[in-house]
Amino acid sequence: MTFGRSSAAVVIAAAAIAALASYGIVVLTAREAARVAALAPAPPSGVPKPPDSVRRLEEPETAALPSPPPTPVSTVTADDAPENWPDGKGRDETFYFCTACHGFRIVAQQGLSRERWSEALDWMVVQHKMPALAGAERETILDYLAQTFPSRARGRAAPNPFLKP
Amino acid sequence: MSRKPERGFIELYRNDPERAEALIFGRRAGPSRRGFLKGAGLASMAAAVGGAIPFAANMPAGLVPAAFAQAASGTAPAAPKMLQMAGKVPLILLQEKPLVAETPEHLLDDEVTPTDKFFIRNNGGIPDQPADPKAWKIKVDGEVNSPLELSVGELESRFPMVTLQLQLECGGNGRNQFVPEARGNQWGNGAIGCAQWTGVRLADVLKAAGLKSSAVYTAHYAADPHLSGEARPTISRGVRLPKAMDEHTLIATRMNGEPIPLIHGAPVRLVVPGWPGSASQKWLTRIWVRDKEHDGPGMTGTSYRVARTPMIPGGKPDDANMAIMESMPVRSIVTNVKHGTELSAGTRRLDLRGAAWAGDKAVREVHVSIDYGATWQAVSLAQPKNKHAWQRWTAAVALPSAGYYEIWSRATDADGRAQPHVAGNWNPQGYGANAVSRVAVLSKA
Repeated sequence: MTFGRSSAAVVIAAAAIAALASYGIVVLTAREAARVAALAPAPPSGVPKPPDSVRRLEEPETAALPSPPPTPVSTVTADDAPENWPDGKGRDETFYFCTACHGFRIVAQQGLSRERWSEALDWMVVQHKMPALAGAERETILDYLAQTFPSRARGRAAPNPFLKP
Repeated sequence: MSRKPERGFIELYRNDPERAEALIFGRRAGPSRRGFLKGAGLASMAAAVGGAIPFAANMPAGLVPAAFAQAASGTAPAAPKMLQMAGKVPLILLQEKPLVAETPEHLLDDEVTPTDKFFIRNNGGIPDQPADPKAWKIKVDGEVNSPLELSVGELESRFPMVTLQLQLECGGNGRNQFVPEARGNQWGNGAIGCAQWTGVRLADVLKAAGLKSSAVYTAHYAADPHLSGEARPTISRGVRLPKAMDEHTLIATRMNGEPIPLIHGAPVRLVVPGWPGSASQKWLTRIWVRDKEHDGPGMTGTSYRVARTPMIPGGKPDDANMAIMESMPVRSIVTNVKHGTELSAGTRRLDLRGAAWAGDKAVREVHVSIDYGATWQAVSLAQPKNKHAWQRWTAAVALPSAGYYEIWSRATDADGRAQPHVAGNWNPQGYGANAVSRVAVLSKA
């Protein structure tokens, strides 16, 4: 990979802007929203505020954002479909297998080597009673996970000099 | 569309930070392992963060500036998604099912964490709101002389009610600091809250049931349904008896003076302050007193366990080497300055507020640094409201010039153990990462 110096500044500036860009908003599914909205926490009560003797640098983020709508405005989460996740062989199989029990965001948060993804699948079977994966299905899912969500860390600790390949 | 170049940069940094810096910035690691930004490289990085970097010489080589770290830590979507939920300020969404959301650190600026700013951690579904909260029953059985079945109403009338300010922290708080990545929700430092909890002491209830001499451990059960739809516990953790008998361990029915909201465990939950939050079972239905270490879901294998003897980061765990995590480690955060704050031109003094806590222990001192830990200054640290409440601190730092700075904070517990510069004691599920906290600010020229 080569990076020209002149384009690098543009690239970096774009990265910095993206890193600090405004956040997306996700709305709960109708079922979840109905449950939680039914018993929304009471508004903050007479909790004592710390003395504001020191200067507040900015208003809390909440002041700048629109207040939450009284009722949910959407019935699906933004990422609740396989096509919202990185393309690759086995994506749909992986998405539907994992989301039988839990959301896909916990999967996409991870960055693991193939071996540690394999351990994660074993762990799901032992700790969470996931149906065991075997044969071609396991390979397909493992390939997608390892290729799409690999370990991103590099440095003194990763890859570790003592880890056997 | 900036997506493509952004990925290119982040990936380059992820794959080999030192090479990335050498390529992009012309930055080389010196013999002291510190980087030296010079000439065009310094100008490039300065352009990237939007200003000069006064302490560039101290910035460790290969360390991604904190201003980039948020984008670098995520996978598919670079920017965090925010959860918008009635009764809650926008929280960082980690996952929807189960619902898990983190409080941005700069929203933890209250001495007592308001309910709308309290983080959310679930392992399963959310039970239905009880029609009659006072009639909700909890059972106390196992190694006791007189098993109890108590309604919430009976609990509140039969035992003394106490109100304490108690910190509740997810066992995985700080997980995103681990290298290589540890498995689980990639929390920053915002899986913490210190609300005011009202309830009865677990010790009083256990004494009323009459503990047998064989009692050594508790096992907690709750009503949250398993995500698979099967009728089995989502999670069931417990604590050694001395922690259960600690006068700060509560069966709580009120949070910040109000009935506990459903999302936080209505109508009754445990609050086991200073230990991984999963021991503070929400929607509590049963406390089973056991004659051995509890072995429910979440107690075994690598769950809520850390390595006894240090293991190779990224290596295969030996279950026999994994010990249950008990007290949480020392940690501090800056709470009045949002990560990525631009300071108006000419700002040379920055007032800071923050919080520090250390599981079962007190915090002895907190220091802050604006030069990547080359020099530290002590802050003014308040005493906790009561044991197991976090401690607030204030400080003022001088910024010698305009430019990009990182505010680092480092707490030291009563035993003299400070937050390390890098998260250590790697374990597969990522518990106990408590490196110094970092907030990027830009003082405009």
